[in-house]
Amino acid sequence: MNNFTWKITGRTSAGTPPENWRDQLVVRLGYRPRRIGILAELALYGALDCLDNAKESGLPGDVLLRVCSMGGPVSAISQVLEQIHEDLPQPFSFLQSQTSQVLPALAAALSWQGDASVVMSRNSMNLALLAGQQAERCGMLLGWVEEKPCRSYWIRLAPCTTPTSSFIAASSFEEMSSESTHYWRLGRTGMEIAP
Amino acid sequence: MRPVYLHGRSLASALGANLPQALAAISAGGKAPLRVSLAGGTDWPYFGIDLPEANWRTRARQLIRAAISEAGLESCRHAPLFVASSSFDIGAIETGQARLNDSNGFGEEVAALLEWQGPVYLVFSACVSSLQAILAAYKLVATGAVDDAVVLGVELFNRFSLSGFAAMQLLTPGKPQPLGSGRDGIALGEAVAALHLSSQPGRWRLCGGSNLVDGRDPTGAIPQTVTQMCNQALAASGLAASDIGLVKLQAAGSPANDVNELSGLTAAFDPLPPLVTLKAAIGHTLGASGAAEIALLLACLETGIWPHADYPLDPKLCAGLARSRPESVRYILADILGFGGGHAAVILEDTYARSG
Repeated sequence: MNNFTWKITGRTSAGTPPENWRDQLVVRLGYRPRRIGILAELALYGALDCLDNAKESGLPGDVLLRVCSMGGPVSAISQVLEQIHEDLPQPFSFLQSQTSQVLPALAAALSWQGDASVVMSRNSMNLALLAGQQAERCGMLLGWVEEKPCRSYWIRLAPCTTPTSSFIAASSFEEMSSESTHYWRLGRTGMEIAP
Repeated sequence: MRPVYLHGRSLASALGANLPQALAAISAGGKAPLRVSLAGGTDWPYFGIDLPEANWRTRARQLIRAAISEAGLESCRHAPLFVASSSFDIGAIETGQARLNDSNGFGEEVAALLEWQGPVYLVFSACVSSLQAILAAYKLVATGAVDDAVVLGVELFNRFSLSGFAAMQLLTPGKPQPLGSGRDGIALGEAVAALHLSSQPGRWRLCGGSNLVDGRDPTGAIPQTVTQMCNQALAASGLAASDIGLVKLQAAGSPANDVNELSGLTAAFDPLPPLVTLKAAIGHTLGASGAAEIALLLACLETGIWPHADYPLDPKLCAGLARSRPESVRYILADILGFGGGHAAVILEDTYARSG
């Protein structure tokens, strides 16, 4: 296996987004997103914040986009379930209840087309490793988005030549996403990290 | 990159509990969909699996265990498992048999049920979920990260999806007619399908594929993106358009989407290779459709038992469906197009058809 290496070029804060994140998103986009649902709006907010942090105005076409959302669009799902439970003939929120709708919302906002998918695993380190194995020489934009509790954590990684820094095996996703970690490398047994 | 092969496979669908039953049903002319009533007195066709069991979870467990067994995967429990679906256990949630918690719970339940030891990933990208899972599994085996990987497509009955598709006016009131002159919508269906990807040589080699998300239409296919999807899949497989001897379509009977798919394919292939669609036989099985249709297609190609359309095709599409198994097909492109702007394709090689 090749030792593909990436540099973390952008990331968002790991904390809860500010209370006015929706207003900030409108300012950032220049328009109010319509009918895409809260999860997709949260994903947009985090992804754009991450790209701003990476000082990128767009996303290159060969970047791998992966989104993980364990809860998915729970508010829209709850609404549809309620409509079905009450025997209402048409669940109007159906499209918003599909987690995959995050992907075209991101693609449209970023004027981007490429390899994107929604993949879940309780173990974020496994997900990051899987993304690295798929990306190989390409870059990655990885996001973890949840409605409850509110979260939109994103990391942008660009392919690079292996730096002289010494790599160690990553022992947790917290370690991989730590502010002091700047490089990921696909090792023989898992992801390796370097400052 | 090393070669990747498809070994074990299985399918439970409206055609039967396993692949031999599915082939027998196709030979006998197929099976008519059931009818499911929704609120407001509407009534829709649905390709359900014939397994009467009131408890959604019990039924799901029976079908998943059977699929793993039919595909001979009991000895692969240390391999990565990719569970692909568009609805997971929403059928249990809507009937009060589970709580709306997090979607990964279903993956953990499947892993516990199968006593799976390897990593479990859930691919949740609507209709293209199974093909994305196959592409992810393919890369792991091709790069030598693992020797085996398993894709499990699961799509089981729920009113949530049926109501949603009905609300969006995407369902046919009658029978689905992919590429048909009277096509007026799709019919949903159930499927549980497993595919075993391995580095060990076998008849079917997975050559590569492509996955493109386009944000211009969150519910349908874009012709230019279909063309790009084909071109990328061919490039990833080291092939030219003229190498493809059969295309397994997404075609589900949608008035607009079938046209968009054909338009994109026509730009990628000149002339169009023989075409086949399986959604008139098993319905659109959403997140399971990629795995389900590949499992069924390979069984059809091996046996020569072939699905045929019992309705007139649309002459305006200028494309016919293969009436029988095409002779000497070596490379097959299989695509799925779906919600979420998903355009995904894989290319398979029948190594038995290699010349010399």
